[in-house]
Amino acid sequence: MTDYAAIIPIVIVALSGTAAMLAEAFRQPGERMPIAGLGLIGLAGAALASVFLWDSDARSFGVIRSDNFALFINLILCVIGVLTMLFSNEVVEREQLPAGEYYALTLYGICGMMMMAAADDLLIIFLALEVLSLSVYVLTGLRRASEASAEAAFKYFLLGSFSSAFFLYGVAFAFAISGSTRLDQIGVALSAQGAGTPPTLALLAVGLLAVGFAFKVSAVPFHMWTPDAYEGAPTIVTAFMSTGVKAAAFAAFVRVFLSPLEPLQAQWVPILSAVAGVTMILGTVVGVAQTNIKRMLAYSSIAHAGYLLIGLISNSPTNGAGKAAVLFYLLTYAVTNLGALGIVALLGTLQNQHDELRDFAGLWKSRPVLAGLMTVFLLSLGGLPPTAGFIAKWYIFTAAVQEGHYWLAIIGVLTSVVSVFFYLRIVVMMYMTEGTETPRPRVPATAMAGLALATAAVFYLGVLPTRILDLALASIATIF
Amino acid sequence: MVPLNYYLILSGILFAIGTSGVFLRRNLITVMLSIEIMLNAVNLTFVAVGRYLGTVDGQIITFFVMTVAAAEAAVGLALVIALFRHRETLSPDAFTALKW
Repeated sequence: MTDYAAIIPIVIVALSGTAAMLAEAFRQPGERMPIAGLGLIGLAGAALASVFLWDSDARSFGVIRSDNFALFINLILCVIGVLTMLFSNEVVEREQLPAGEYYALTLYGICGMMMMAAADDLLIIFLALEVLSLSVYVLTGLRRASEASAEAAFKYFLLGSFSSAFFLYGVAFAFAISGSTRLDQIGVALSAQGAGTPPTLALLAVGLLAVGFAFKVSAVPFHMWTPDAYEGAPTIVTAFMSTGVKAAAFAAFVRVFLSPLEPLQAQWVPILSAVAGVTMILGTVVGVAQTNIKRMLAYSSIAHAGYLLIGLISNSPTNGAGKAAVLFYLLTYAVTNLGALGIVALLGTLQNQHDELRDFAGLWKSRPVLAGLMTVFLLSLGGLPPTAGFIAKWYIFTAAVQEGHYWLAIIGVLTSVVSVFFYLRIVVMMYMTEGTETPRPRVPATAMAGLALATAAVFYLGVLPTRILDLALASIATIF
Repeated sequence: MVPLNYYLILSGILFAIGTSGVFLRRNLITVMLSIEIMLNAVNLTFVAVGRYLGTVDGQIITFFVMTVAAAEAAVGLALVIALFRHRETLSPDAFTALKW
């Protein structure tokens, strides 16, 4: 009998997405409906299911595997979803986004992300990738009246589907080597080749899969879509996709490259090391020149992809520190970046996106609480203690040093220092510049609760990281 | 029977044609069609390898890929229409609201 346990969290989120869509369909014109609440219920249910499934290593249909690694990512995605829902209620109304589509697509996107983290088969990873990508493409273009939004969506779509084709070609070559798309069988086929030069098909498979993943995590040289898509999308969607897509893509990246493709580590580590180094440098250097906050955070997100890649590279069969550091970093990045972009989204109106650097002038005078919280998130993005960003970077660089990747650790530390400059530019703008007297919109209590939650998480992960880090270590132990 | 290598080379050529089309063509619809060519080149690989290995897996995977390609085309064409409403052109050079 087929076991359905492993897909329960995914199904719950999918059902709540469908419920959101139906709720919008039955809504009378002008009637207010708390659709975000439906999403919150679904996400809470999925989180609860993930907690109950912990340590069970359930499998469904032989292709979905809910091991602790997938469940940890599920929990990160639930946090991302809950925060997004808390911020959305106000923003969707104010920016006049179509509510039903917005909530349904966000939830379907989360559903695809969860599937991607849990998939144990390259074909399912591809399908999950498409589910989440198609949702996010449409979300990016949701402001139909805005030309920038449509343009961003199309660029994202074009480069995204282009990279999916590369990923799929990689899957085809993996299929050619092993006669299966299952990760374990690909691993068996590759280990059976033994030492020496691997066959061309295997190298092609690794290369093409790496290109596909690099696009999705926005690593250089496949990062071109990131700033445009992040700037053109509605800010709340930017917050959602910068964190969610990254978490899901890195989950699958780690799972594919560190279990079935581990025999080829000698081949892919040098290439990915170079990619990681260039990604960190370019993301930071170009980020310094930006005056639009969303673009700046897009380049910061590229730099963060570089740090995460270090975690992916710094692993050996006996030492899983890098993988645990990646999980911890993804959680940290999720709460921090969602908080920062959430504030930008909450301050925006239909007329003024509030995403230029000068829009933040004098925020401390008019909104001291928001300015304070924004400072916390920006310092955490820059990696200053006692915030979560510091601990996350610390573990990544420790793992790199343990595995002998000294250069990557040095580049990482240097770029972190430089990146503090452009985060502090926003802080200086908020505190030390006189603002124009443009009225800023009211921030409702639910959104403030979300921001409080994110801030609490930033400090909790920054001051008492041991518990979560132990969980991360335990969760990677089960699969690799 | 035609050897597997011929199929792999043919699909490699088709994939390269699709890739170059994405970069060289100056019409958004044609660029999308080039991506379809890339996906179908991959389909050819799956079918050829499946046949070579004597399993039906490759052909079944192709159905999944075709479904995904259809969904992608639907979203892509909708986005093209959204773009066309703003600028009345399909040339990628016209879209400069964001730094490219």
